[in-house]
Amino acid sequence: MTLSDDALATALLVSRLAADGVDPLKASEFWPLADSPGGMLGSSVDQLVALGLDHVLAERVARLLDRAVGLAFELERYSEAGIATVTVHDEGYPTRLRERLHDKAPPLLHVAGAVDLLSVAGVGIVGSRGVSEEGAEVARQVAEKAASTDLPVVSGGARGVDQLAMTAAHGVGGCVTGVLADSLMRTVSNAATRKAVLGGDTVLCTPYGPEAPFSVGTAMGRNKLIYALSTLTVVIASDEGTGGTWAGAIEALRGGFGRVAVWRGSGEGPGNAPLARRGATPLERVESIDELLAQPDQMVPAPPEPTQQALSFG
Amino acid sequence: MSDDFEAEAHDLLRQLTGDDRSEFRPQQLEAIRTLVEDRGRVFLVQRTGWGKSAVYFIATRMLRDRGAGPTLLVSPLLALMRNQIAAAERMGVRAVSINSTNSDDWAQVQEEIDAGEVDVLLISPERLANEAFRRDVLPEVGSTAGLLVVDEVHCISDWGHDFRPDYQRIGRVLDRLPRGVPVVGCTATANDRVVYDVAGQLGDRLQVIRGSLHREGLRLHVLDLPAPAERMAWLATAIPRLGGSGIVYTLTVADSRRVADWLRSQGLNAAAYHAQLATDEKEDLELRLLNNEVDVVVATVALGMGFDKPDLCFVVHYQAPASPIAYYQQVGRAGRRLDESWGVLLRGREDDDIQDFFIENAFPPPDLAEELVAYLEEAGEGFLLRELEVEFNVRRKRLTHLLRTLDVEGAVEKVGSRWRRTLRPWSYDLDRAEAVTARRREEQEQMSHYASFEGCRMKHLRGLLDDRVDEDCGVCDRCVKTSLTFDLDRSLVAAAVEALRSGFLPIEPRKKWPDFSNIPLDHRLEEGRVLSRWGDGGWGDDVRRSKQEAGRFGDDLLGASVDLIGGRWLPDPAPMWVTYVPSTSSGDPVADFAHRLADRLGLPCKDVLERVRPGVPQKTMNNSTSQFGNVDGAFALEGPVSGDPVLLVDDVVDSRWTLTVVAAALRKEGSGPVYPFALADTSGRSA
Repeated sequence: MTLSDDALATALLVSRLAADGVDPLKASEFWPLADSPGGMLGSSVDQLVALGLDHVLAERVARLLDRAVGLAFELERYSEAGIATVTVHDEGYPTRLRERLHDKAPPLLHVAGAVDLLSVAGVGIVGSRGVSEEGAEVARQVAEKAASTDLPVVSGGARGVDQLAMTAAHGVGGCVTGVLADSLMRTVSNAATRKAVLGGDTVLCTPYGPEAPFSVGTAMGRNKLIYALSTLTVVIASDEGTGGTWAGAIEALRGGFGRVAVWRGSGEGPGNAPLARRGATPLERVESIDELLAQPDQMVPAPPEPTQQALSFG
Repeated sequence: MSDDFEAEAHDLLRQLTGDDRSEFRPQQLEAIRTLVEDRGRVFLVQRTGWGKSAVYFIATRMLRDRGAGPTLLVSPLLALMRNQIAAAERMGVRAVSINSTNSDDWAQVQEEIDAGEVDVLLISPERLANEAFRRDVLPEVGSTAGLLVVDEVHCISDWGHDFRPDYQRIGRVLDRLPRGVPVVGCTATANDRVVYDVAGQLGDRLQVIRGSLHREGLRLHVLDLPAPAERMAWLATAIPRLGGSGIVYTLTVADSRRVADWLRSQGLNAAAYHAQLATDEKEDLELRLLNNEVDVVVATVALGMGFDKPDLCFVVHYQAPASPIAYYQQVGRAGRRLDESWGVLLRGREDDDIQDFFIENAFPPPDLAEELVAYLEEAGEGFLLRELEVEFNVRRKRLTHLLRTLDVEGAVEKVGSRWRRTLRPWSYDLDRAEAVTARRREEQEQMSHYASFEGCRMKHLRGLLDDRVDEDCGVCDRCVKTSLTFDLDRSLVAAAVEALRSGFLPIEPRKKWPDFSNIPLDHRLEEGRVLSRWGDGGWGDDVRRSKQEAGRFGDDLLGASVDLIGGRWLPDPAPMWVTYVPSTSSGDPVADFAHRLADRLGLPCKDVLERVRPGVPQKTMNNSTSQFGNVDGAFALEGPVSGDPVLLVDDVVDSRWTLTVVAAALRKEGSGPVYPFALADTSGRSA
């Protein structure tokens, strides 16, 4: 497979691999240049300035494009390990990311497994790691429900709700999309994960380097991808005002990344009711997911911020 | 502007050559211009000595002067580039290499690269298979690379005659390299198919610069000399008359040693060169050949790409290589700067057998490859080589070859010491394997056609490599209508036969059981002897005939064995009695031979062993574990065993398990040291 110049230029501009001493472009810096980045290949700083880049950016871009040999060796190394590089200029890139996340969409993903699955909008399942037994059961049922309607379960691949949901989906022959905030390379070295990926019904992806370790930052950045890759995301259990699940759901609601439902019933967390008040659709029976899925998959306009006053009266 | 460019390049050329009158060859400047001004890609197909390295060293200097990072040069021939590197330093190009022998210096090299003090970084393709190097070093050094040079780039093509697995990675790296990065691929020889294939991998917008294959003054000859002894006699007669030093190519390591030994016994200064020599031994031998300190180097293909001796007087092939392209590349080393040189192909009767062996073993069998991948895939986890060896009945060397092939294809990978399935989809590419095998067969045909062709050899050989011309060379055996046939001295041929028969091979005692536990010292074999190698043109031919046709080992073999055991081997303490490994077949020829041998040695022969379970030939068992299983418990001792040293006789030896198991049984029953002796070694060939 020969990658297009646009795809390779995208990787050169944003990838953190082989980037010694120069900062790759952030998503928001990349998107204004995204139309045909291949056109910048081989350009001098002056030529880049002539294209309309300011001088500082032009120098950075020139240096980023200059590391082509090192990056080519890195991408080949990962490809040999089964980790593909998918940029916005490649076939398999899920267009939903750009439609929903706009300038926050990652221009590049590293992917292991069935790339095509990324473009099938799934059912997101999120929740904290320390979920209760009842919450775990809800996660399992939602995952099985998604699998029964031939939708992939989209999850974060972390312990707790994420893995329960993924295992449940696999258990009934469903598909799984895992969006990782932790080293993809390490995750796929697990024997059970390898079997699942090789089985063809699983895709794992990350917007970070394939060997980048977990951090709060990567976890937050990853959450928005779960919402954007899902037609509907169900929050099983969330703390209130704290934790990744809460922050991710709030961010998704505000940013309109995708439809958000929140479990209201046995096993819910203290944050579930407040999330419903902030615009998440309450889900009281797992069967009701069918009705929600039947509704058009549209972007959700961001609800207005609840004011202080509203809170005090709420 | 372009005149300035030309003047600058010209100036650098003269610094490089150290000669004020140096001029570019047509197309050298063109190539430099493409690399430097267009940052484009160039494919140089030019003979050795054309000046390919001048192109990339001058391009490096010019790119560096224009602010580009250092050149990354991938070459399998780093050791042979010393001269070019010294020349490059004359124009201020500093080259350093990173290889397995200087890992202590990597950090310093890295610092020098960061400080901009390195202009060319040399790495071997094998380095690219090293995980630590790829993870820790390459991204850093590659992150600023200005020019990528791939030497011997024909190795990328699996149509190439010496496709190297490590080069497949380079092909995939090229797929991931955008335009704007100058790339130059170099090779000395490629036919249309290889050029097309490599060009495809180097990408579109490629400038192909391809020269003529003609070699002025190279006298190509072919002689049919089926018997090894005749060829050996021919070499001893002809080499002193060819008037200089040269190379004799053999297909196997064993033959390179044997022929070198023979030529030395005939008073020539000869040495064997093959892959089993240590690196410094090889370098030393290359140097002695360069300085004309040896008459002849008898080499396998290991003396290969890039060896550059402009005054090499002759290249003789003791056996025919597998393809016209391999032949051209090897014979083309002769006389590049001589008015007259020799390229002689001797055709032996074993050529086809050896070539067949290589062709048939080039690809792993599809069933096995698929089984292995499915097994790893189902398991998910990784396995040690040893564990896989037990699971699949495959010789270790073959299993390693299979895993390595699958590794390069991306189906499996080695993590630490464990092999596991990668995450890449994979299926056995039967079409490719069949197409390549068919192509190899076609090339084998072409070689035999080259030998029998009635017209000009050079014209025909060039035509086989898609360099078609009308004019004859005027100097080959066909053009001048003479042959290098000599009336070989019959006594010399007899001496060669004798030499072929006077060799022997050691039997090294096995030290461990298949479960890797030690065999106690007092249960082990002593070192033993094998009279010959199966079908080797010496005694090995007699052994084959005796075993397959006559059903009895004749008195010639008996005499040779007595001569070896009693005259040259002389084990100490000497064996006091003889026994043998019995077979189940009626009229056991080994028993017969052992009794006759004992008689001639003046020792008693005792029938103390009995086969209690029929075995199948060890050569059908593919690895230690299964070979051991085949013989373990197959023999029983009957009758008392003497405490004296004993000579243990068998007809052929393959895995050594039979001898090892029998020796342990004899020692347990109280026998003295056990010396094994066999008539022929049937274990696999190696090149």
